[in-house]
Amino acid sequence: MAVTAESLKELEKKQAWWWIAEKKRSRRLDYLRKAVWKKGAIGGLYPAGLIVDLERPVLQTEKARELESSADPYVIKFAKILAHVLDNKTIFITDHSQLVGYLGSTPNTITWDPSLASILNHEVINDPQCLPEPLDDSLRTIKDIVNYWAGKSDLDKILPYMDLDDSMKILSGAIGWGVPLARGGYSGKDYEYIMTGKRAFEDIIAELDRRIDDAYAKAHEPSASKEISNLYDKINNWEAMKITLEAGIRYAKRYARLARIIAENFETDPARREELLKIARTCEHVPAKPPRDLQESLQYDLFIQLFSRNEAIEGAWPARPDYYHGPYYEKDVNVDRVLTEEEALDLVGEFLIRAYEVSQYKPKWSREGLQGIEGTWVWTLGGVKPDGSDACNGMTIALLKAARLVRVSNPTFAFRWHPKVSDEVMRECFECIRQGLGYPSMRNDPVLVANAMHWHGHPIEEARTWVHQACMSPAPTTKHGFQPMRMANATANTAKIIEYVFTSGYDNIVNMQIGAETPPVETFKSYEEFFQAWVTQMKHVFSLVVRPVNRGRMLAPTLTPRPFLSAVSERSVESGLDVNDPSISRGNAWITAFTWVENIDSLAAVKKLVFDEKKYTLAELKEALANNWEGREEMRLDFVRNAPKWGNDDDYVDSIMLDCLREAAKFSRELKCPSGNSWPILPENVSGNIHYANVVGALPNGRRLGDALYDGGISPGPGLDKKGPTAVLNSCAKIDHITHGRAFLLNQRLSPTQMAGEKGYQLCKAYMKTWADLGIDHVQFNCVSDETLRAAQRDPEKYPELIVRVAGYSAHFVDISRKTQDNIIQRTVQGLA
Amino acid sequence: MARMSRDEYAKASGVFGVKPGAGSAVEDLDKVPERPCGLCKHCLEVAWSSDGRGSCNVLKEGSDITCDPPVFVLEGKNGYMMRLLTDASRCTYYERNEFIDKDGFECSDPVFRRFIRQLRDK
Amino acid sequence: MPTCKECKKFFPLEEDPKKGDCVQRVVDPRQAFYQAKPVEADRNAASCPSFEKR
Repeated sequence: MAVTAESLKELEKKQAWWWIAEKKRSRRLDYLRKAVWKKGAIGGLYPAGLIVDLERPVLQTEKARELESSADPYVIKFAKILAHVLDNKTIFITDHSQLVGYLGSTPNTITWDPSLASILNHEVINDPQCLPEPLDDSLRTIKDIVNYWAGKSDLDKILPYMDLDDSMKILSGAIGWGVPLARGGYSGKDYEYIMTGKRAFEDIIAELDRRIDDAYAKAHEPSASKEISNLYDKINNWEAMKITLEAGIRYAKRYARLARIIAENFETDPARREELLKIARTCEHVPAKPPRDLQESLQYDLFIQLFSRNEAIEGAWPARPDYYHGPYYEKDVNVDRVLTEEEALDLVGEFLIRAYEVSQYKPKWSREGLQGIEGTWVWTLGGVKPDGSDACNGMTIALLKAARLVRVSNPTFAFRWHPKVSDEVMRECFECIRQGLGYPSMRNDPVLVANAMHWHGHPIEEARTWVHQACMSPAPTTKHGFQPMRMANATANTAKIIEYVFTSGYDNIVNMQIGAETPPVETFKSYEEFFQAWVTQMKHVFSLVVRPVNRGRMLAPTLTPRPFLSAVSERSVESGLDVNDPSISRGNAWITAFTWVENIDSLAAVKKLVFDEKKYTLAELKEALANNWEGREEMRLDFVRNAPKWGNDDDYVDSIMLDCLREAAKFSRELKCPSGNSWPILPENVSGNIHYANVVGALPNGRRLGDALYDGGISPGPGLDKKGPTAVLNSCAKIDHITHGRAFLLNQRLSPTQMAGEKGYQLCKAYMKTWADLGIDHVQFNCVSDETLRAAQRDPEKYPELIVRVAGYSAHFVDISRKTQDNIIQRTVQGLA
Repeated sequence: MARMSRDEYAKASGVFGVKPGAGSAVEDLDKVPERPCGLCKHCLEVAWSSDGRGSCNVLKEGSDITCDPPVFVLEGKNGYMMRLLTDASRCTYYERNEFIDKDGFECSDPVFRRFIRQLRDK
Repeated sequence: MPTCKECKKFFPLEEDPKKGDCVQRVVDPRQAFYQAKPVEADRNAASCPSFEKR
């Protein structure tokens, strides 16, 4: 079909946004978008065609063996291994690309870091899908690597120093979601240090040299003290940082050389030859020196992200690309006019694609909990500058436009809404939502700035720099405010809290005593007593997920250091301490509360049907739950239909939500991170509601073992919000979004028909005004009709690019499991009035 | 479980995976016995990973089905930790499972799913 | 015995001609690209399926 206004209109009518994108984007973007290998796991397994990259683990292992007898301290050995990988890995440049760099040796590879955890290495051995052929050769190599790292991996090293009881409970997979490793989680970055154009790697190397020289001189003056002893460690840390930065510069120069070789020996098209020479000039300049234009700025950022992911498994991508790349966009497009808007869109669109393809081998809980994507690359747009003025710029709009052209499911955007955002920018956000991307999610900036100050004491100027550290949680990008590692296992499967009230803490799914041994539930005489048992279990579960993280963080500087991340962090360059050292961090911890609303609906059901109406006894209910409601269907339906449900502006159940949040918030102040700061909760789910479906037993809200859990955060149960969008917002607004927790995810579905045209925008705008006025911190939308979703279930091959918002992230609909698909379809479509 | 020594605990849980110096231990990770625990209906794969750990729904902590004669402990709280490829030929409680889903594209179900390569075609 | 330095795909480093990159054109099911892998100039290329005499 030729690209005519009519044909586009026709496609728009059918809401076939992915075909529209294909027709509107440049030939380059079209090639690059189709060229990319999708990495997100489908259900629990990696898609066909992907292979585990064995090059990196072989390089890593060979260098580790070589260094075994070296006199270097561990941090320097670690830096040298990283440098060895960067110096020797295979690199490639894809046709038509202008940005370069990938973790693996070929585009279809998933990289595997065997130095992280032996249990992850065993998953590689067991992988049924993506070991390279010939299998016997691969297995021989893999086994050699696994054998070498057994007992030497980070997890092996820290476990002897952890509480094994807590660790085993976490590693059962019932309540926690991760491991307490500093090299596995969500790494914030000190963008104010590294991304403002004031310095780049060579400047930092010069600074490190000065510090090493000064420390060396001081350490050899005629004196002796604890401080002098500490200098030896600092010198090692600084040396290690320097090794990684120098390796980064060499790695970039390898791309420059390859680009020149292609231009001078293979490429026949003069235009492409010139592009290759531009890539060469870019990679000769960054990351050694600060960027000078948009392409260099994006390439510089990409290199930093890749180096950091060479050093650690990063499950998130905290970023604020419009804020940090915006000045270069303005300069190139509007001041120097060396790029047209279309040329800039090509670069911005490719930047999204380069992020989309990043992949690292992850364990099952992560693959299943983040179906369809690699990690939560939630990029932050909009917001305010440290002085409070609007931070939106031309790059904000370019990113929103590029997202509609390339339609990747990862990264997604979250937009920091505030009252000064222009109508032009809001329309671009709306257009992305209307076109079914599921992003940007909308964040209430004034509320979240206040929240950052309330919970972690960030000064207002720092709080205003915030980015999403993972799906939802704000973290500043400043020297002391950024958090270098938020370990995923401070994630609690909170539906277990109410489940454990009925089992006195015993987990029947994993055969372990995990929760607190509260008295038998049938002995409780009042709702208050019952609720107190819930509070006890809540404290127990939260402590269980937090303690290992605190311990892991404290052990990290010595056992699992991060010299590269330290090298791009002002506080480490200045102090000589590893970036994870809690003494140089203000702290920005949070507990992700998966499956939270099940607690509220269950408590409400017990209060009403057991204590108020006395229709059932706790003993009866305990038995029904233990038998997964079998033989008690009528009773189960009573608990589903005749108990009040969250999200309907009903004070009976909404007040229970507030009681639970107040108790959790109070306890959050008692839980301390190693920096001495609080652990507020943050209800949200990713696709944990499906992953945990078979891990959470029957619940008093009428749920059976195996049923999908609610889609998360403070979103009402699918189909249970029967009183319309305003009632949902009214329920959510009863929560204090500053003091009750760190953030609260809210999923809503809108009708695509209603969102059409100017009328749709005005409706959406009115909805957003109500949302903002009510002080709710988050909302995200799915705007795809049931009809389209069901058609995609029937003919998935016709809808490969259909995107939906899962929870905290977006995914291609065909890449998520049937159960997750059904769960999204079940969500109530809210008609706006 | 906390009453065990740390080393005993670690071995029982398999949380450290294969220890260095264990000789052919890594090779063993590919050997599928005639009656592996992973094909028994009482085996629960841990929800966390596919690294091959699991627990038994019938046998409790203190059991050992690999020694001769085997030790069966049926009372107690915590389940017996084993690996999916543990040889259960001596286990009298073994009941082979009928699998309903082996393609691995639906989400985990600790009761019915073990999607490790070694058991793929079993 | 053929060595990498005799191959068309070998590009020596200016600063150290004993080392270089093996640069190859690859077309996979989704995309085409050039890849570079560091190699020693004197490496035995007898069993290399991509060897092309200069």
